[in-house]
Amino acid sequence: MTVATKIGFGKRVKGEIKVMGGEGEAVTTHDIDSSLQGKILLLLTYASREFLEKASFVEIKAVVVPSMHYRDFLYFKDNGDFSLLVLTKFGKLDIGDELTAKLSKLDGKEGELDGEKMELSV
Amino acid sequence: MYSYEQIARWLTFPIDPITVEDWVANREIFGREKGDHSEQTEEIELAYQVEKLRESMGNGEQPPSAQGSGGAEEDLDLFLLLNGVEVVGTIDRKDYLAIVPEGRIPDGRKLAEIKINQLGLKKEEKFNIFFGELFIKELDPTVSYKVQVYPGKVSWTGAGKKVFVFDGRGRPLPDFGPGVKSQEIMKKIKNI
Repeated sequence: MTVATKIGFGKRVKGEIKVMGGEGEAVTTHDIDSSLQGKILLLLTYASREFLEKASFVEIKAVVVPSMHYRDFLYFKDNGDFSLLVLTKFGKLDIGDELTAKLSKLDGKEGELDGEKMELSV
Repeated sequence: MYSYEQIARWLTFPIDPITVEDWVANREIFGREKGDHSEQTEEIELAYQVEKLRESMGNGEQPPSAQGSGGAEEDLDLFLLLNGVEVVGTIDRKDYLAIVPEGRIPDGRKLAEIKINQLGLKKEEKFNIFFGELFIKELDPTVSYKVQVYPGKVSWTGAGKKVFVFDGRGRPLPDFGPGVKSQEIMKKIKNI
């Protein structure tokens, strides 16, 4: 399975996928700990800049987000230590139930994310 | 990528910078959104088109509608002409007449006097226009008018016009940003 987007940055990385924020549950900085180190974080709900900063701090390899603000995208492109894909557009948008259900199944699988090609392959 | 200030100065409503930044970035990557034709979205799209036009004119390019047609800017609407192309002179179109003087004088100084005569009725109206002002006068298209602008002795006579515009904002346009005054001016232009 390959998920292709039009927005992203960063190098190609491999790691275990950790899905967070399914079924409408919000994600907060409290959800991040060192167990996420080296993983690809697949978020199914909007995450704040603080959340992504903490994720960067615990050295995740990559993040996939449903949407994010353009200014946050630029910030992490310049300052983040991870690769990133945006599934929809800039703003604060959801991905819908169907895609949420599909992506939820990727939890725990090994994935490869290429920020330049803007693809996540499982 | 156009900045918040570049886009927001053409809008008639207040908007936050994050929304504008997201909109412009999406517009550049995904193109024009097909489903959303709300009034506000249409207005942001128009502002985006104005900036594109200003950018292309700054690079010495012809306005898009003029390319290959030979009839410069003939199809562009008045909003784009006044703000994007920054036309100068007398623009005599199907249902409007616009006069745009070139140059600038100090703020608040009287720029021109306009006389509008309804031919046959011997009815004359006079208006003093000050620098920075956008003067708009609705006309009856069934009536013949004589419009005179002083100084300069610019004169136009004819019928079939719904509106007369005198753009006293100066050329090139001042480097104005988003704000109540610019929003009021844009509302005026959009209502033409």
